[in-house]
Amino acid sequence: MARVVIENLVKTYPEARGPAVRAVNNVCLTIEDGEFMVLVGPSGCGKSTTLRMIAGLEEISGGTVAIDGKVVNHVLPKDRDIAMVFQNYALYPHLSVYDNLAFGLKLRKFSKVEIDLRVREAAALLGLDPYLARKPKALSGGQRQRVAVGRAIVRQPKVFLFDEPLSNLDAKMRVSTRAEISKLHRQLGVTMIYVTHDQIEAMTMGDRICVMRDGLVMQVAAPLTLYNCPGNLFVAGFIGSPPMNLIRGTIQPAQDALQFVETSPASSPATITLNSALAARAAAYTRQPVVFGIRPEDLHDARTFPPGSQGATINTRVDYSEPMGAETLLYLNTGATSLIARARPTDRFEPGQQVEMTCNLENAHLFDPATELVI
Amino acid sequence: MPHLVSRQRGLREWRLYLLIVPSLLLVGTFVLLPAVNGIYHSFSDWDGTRAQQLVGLDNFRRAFQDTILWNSFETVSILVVFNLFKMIPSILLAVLIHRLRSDRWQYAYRALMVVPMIIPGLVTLFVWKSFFDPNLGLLNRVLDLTGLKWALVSLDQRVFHWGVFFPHVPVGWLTQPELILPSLFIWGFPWIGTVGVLIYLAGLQSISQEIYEAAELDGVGSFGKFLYIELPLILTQVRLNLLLLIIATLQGYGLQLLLLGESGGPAGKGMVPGLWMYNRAFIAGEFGYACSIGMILFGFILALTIVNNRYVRVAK
Repeated sequence: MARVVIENLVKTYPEARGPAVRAVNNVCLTIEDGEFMVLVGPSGCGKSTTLRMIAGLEEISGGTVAIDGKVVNHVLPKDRDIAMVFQNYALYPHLSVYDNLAFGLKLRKFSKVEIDLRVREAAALLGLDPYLARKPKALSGGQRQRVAVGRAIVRQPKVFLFDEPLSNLDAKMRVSTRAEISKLHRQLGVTMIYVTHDQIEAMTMGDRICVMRDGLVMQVAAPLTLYNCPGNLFVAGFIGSPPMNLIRGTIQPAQDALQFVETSPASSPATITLNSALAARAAAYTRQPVVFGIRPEDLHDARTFPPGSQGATINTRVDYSEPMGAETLLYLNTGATSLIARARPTDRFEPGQQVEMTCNLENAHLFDPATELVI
Repeated sequence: MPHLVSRQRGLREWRLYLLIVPSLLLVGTFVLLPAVNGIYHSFSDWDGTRAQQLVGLDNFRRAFQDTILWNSFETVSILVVFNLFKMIPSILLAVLIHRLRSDRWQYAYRALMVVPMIIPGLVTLFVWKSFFDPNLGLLNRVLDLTGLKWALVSLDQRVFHWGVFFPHVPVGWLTQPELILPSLFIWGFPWIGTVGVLIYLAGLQSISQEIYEAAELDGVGSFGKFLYIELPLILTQVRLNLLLLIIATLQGYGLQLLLLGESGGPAGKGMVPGLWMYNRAFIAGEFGYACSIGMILFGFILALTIVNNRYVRVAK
């Protein structure tokens, strides 16, 4: 059980030519005791490097990592009381499942009885009992990953680190293993730090999510907060599948209200009259560029938009639709911007058809295109 | 329609067989035929000329009573054990190269390992023969300069009473019967087999970086990594090298022929089965008997290979 505090963490890689590359740039992050923290971001955003610095597998170029109040920058990985699960499982191929689980304990000079107890306990927890005598090669991907998790469990570490542990599993296995890891977190109640590039994993597993880009922390928040109140354009576009629709335009005054007018070469650009809440925020941006953000589920067919809600209607043309069964994804075009809307599975749309779509303004967002921050 | 499929496949295979006919012919003529011929001649009293008679098992009966042959098997067994020890430096070197952090240096060392291969084996043997020379050889000079000679002499006179090392007398490495086996052990120091190192390196490179990292988190130290990870994971390569080495040692006699001559040096101490076979064929002209020695050697190697395959099992 431990609290992990990361302060101004920096990782630089020397480049043969040119300045050093900053893979991790002044990351500050506090992971509370027992928390499930997910680091998420696109490839090369520095999430794995951050995790590896916590593990001690990468040298820290600047800043500190503290586990339970103790700075561990110069503590050997084995003495940090952490356990890590790797993407490629990293099982010892020449050892049986039992020995894989027992290996770390043997090295730490645990008694045979204690080792056996812990191994059997972990095996029971993960349903590995029938496979204890097998070599990793005789296991499926999901089973191997369970062994890798088991190897972490038997150590009873303060902090669990996961480095994209589900990436090598097939889609079905990924969903079930995801649930298993979440369950494990509830059972063990220990601090877990989990790196993934898959935002669905992040959303479903994390107590809090840390979204990273280019070595910087973009936002740290609970999953739904990230989804409903993204702090910046990057988070808005990264979290959610399909992603949030982002329309570039300007704020224009119109009679006694403010309007968002899409930047478009077309003669009649999409125009959205802002509701009072949005208008209050947008007031300072009059005649200035902004980005209007609306999630696919907040873009409704105007004919079915519930009356009484605050909506604004724009004209769009259907590019194509993707029936997914439970819903239909509608790919639309305003003439300058491509949009995605979630439509009911029963609705039929033909490519080229003109559709009036209503934005649910209560869930709309405005961003400053210069700072990329939410307005 | 299964019938049609199998006919098509049969046709395809028929063409493939045709493609291997040329190589099969070449291998047959130059490898298999002489071997089969050897079997035939081992039952004859062939002296290298056209005249020959089948003599049944006479050659083999003679071989079983041939003390030189059995002593040579004893010698070659000792050499096999020597060579097992001589595998160790190659494994260690491979691990050291593998552990180099700089890819560029690793590459350089790998390339360096290939360089000795361009030197003909015969040249290496001649170089070693000159090392062993009592008066001009490098070995004696190094012993003199480092004082090791003095240590050997003291050990000889005070402890072991070998009667081999004397002060102010150059050590006759290849002329004193007692020193033949030690010389054959020293030969090739520091026993880096370049092909072996490359084979081990190939095995080591297949170990994923994550396994090393997992081991680091498990608290495995530098030597532990060698013992618990690297060595077990290159056992397949070690086994392969072991097999190649045993076969090469059992068959080989170039080393002994060149360093010690066709009769295996003083008192025949360096006589190995291969050399005895060569000796019988080309010195005594007993080709038929030499063939039977070859057959015995073949049986010996075959048996060892089967044992190695069956009992020196390595999980793949």
